[in-house]
Amino acid sequence: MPKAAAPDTTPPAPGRATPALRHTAASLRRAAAALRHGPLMASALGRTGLGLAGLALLFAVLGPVVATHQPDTVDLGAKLHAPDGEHWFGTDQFGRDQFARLTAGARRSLLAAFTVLAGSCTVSLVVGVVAGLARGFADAVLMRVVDIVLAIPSLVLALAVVGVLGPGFGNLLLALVISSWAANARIVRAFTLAVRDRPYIAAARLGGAGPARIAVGHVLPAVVPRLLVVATLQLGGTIVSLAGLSFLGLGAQPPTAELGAMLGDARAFVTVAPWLLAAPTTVVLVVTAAATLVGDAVRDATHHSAVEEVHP
Amino acid sequence: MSGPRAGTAELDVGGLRVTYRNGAAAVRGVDLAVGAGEVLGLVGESGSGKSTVARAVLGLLPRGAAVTGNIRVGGRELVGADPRAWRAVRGDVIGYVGQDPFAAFDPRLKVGASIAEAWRAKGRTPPAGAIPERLAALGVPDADAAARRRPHTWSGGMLQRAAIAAATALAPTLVVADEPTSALDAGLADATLAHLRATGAAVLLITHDLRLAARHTDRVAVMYAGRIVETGDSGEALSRPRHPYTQALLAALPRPGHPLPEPLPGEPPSPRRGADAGCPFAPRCRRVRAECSDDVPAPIDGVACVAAR
Amino acid sequence: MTDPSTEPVVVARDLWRTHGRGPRAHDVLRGTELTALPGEIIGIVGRSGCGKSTLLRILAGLERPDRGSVFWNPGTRAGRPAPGSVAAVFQDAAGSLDPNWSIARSVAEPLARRLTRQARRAAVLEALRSVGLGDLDPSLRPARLSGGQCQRVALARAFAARPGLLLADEPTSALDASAAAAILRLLRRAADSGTAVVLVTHDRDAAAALTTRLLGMSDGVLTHIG
Repeated sequence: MPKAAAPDTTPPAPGRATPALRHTAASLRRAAAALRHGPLMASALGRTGLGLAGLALLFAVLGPVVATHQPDTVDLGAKLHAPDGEHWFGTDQFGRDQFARLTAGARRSLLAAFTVLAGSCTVSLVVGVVAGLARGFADAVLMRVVDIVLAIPSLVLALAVVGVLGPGFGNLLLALVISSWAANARIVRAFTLAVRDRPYIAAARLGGAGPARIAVGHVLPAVVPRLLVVATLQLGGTIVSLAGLSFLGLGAQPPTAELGAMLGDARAFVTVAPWLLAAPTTVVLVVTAAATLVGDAVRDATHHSAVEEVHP
Repeated sequence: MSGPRAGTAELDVGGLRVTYRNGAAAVRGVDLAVGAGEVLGLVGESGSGKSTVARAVLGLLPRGAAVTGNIRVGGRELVGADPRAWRAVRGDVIGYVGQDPFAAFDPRLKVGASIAEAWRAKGRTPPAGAIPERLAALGVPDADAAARRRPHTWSGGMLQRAAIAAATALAPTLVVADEPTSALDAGLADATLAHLRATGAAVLLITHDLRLAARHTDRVAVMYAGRIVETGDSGEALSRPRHPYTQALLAALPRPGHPLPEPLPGEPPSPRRGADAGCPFAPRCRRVRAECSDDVPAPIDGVACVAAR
Repeated sequence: MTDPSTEPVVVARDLWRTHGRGPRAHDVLRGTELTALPGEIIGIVGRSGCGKSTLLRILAGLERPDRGSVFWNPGTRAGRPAPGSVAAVFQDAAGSLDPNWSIARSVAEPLARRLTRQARRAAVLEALRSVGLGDLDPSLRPARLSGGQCQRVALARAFAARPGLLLADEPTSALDASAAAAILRLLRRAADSGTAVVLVTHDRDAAAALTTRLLGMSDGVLTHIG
């Protein structure tokens, strides 16, 4: 074997990129080790959650690859078939392959839930950090806006937004972001207040750092990990909200495969084709349970490591 | 040596070793005893393991910390005790006073209600009038009204007395106090420690402040790198120290009218290091000799140093 | 022309500050006056809650007095010290460093941003060497450091910008004797190089051994005590 082909453990690029690369590699290794040996795996619920999450991801990612049919191909000759070797999960009233539609739906739901959370977190980070650092008038105004949004039940708000914008999956995501950012903004503001008066912020101000520099350099790195823990806990609820509103016909429009919409369609055929209801229900259940269990375990794990940080 | 006679100690720690889950061996064989009504000061640099000893005695080590050796409180062995045994001991037998009194009290509860928790946690009711009485005994003015106010209206010094009242509510025989006065002014610190001592409990006082230890303890144990390097009567050990480490620490205290003191050279060894081959203080020691690297010196007459003999 | 070495670094005139509102309001500062010259070490002692820390925050430009004024040299028009001309160290040594930042990044924070990479790195290493931490890996996070080391890194950051005024709020009271002795020596060295140091402490021995002027604070007023 030529020498050059031997595995080289040192990154080839010298100079500036090397420490950053090494740092990233080290953090990835640490994260992997934390996952393997950490408290996430230590609790039975955490292991179950991770297992279910892996299953759901596998289903959403690999499902469309192994599916034997396209999710939207209509075959009126094969209407409402029970599960068999050809259609693993049966077919719906238009003869569409239920397995293909489920995996496509699961992928869409998961992506949508992450998109909603990303949007909600971004808005809440901006509002919460600005309010927390600005104090005074800007803080008061932003928090009153938050109070107003929080005063409206989030489902009602989402319905109202979809009502104005018209039904559709994109509008539904926007509606969910609009109805969910306010609670997180409050949390981010509280996190910001906890960091704001630390001596290192005062030292940064003395060093000439302006508000934007302090927000990006010092506050965000402290706040984002904590917000991510909170967001993990909200993942399950977001998936259910998405499915629920799509079930009501406000989200994905036919023929798009989406878990909630599929449940809505299956309702009419519950006596003749119960598998149409059972399969999406199971997927929603598994995904929600996985998200909730992982969220709980992440919360416990971070709480635990916070305790340990104090006593090294 | 003036240690309590065997069998009469309220706290008897023998061969204690604590290793955290991250591999840090913070305590590497500690023997100490606190007799009834005695105040023992455990002093040393940060990272010497003194707070770990306190947490081990309180059963408050984080998950995954390995503890070996003995911790006997009132004759009861606590190493390996189950959570129920710990709950039975806390409050009734061991009291705890922490560093920050404002962190010790629930800001939403009136101070009197927080102190009453000491009884309620054990399913008992505080005797009528007991809480204001104790607060008054600890020097809290207008104790009756003060007990009905929330912590943020209290001063730090007074609230630390309330913390002492809560820790000693059930008349525990041992009180562990971890830097109880580091948030207080010098004058308040003296008064607070005098009150703590007046409760009559055996006290394990963790502090980094040598002058405070000299004023308020009967005996001191000086910790370095997870071991006790010198024990003795406070007056003796802190005025005529025998271990080079104790000598260097005392020499590092500023004195008015003198030039600024010298810090110790170098840094204390990391708790993550492996087993010690010789005296862990040798690299920073002025009186280091060849035999210092042979063995970890065993304490003889309260001093663990070959050069001091 | 005045001799630049005797030009005050900071002059505080008739500072008044009230904390709280309504019946809870109390005056923390009641006409406090302070002038600090280059190379001076001014010690301020007093009971907790006497206004020492508020005074330091006002001298740092982090807080404004309700009445009275502070003049910094060099000052900027907004009534603030020029960036980097005032530095501070605090009692909570670990809290003085961002836990997510490497030591090198923290020390480099007050350095001018136009410096080249090499110049920054050299300045950071030099600052760490000056506080006796030349052997420390500058990529470490503060969680791996002892309290005394954290405080020395905070001092390295303070020295890095070569401030004219260094404010120290109980920098040694959470430290053991040896670490405290190292900090006191570093404060003395800062003063020897021309920085004015204002040290708030409750350790009268340390104040007496270190300072050139000792002031007592009570009822919001500073009085000369030695």
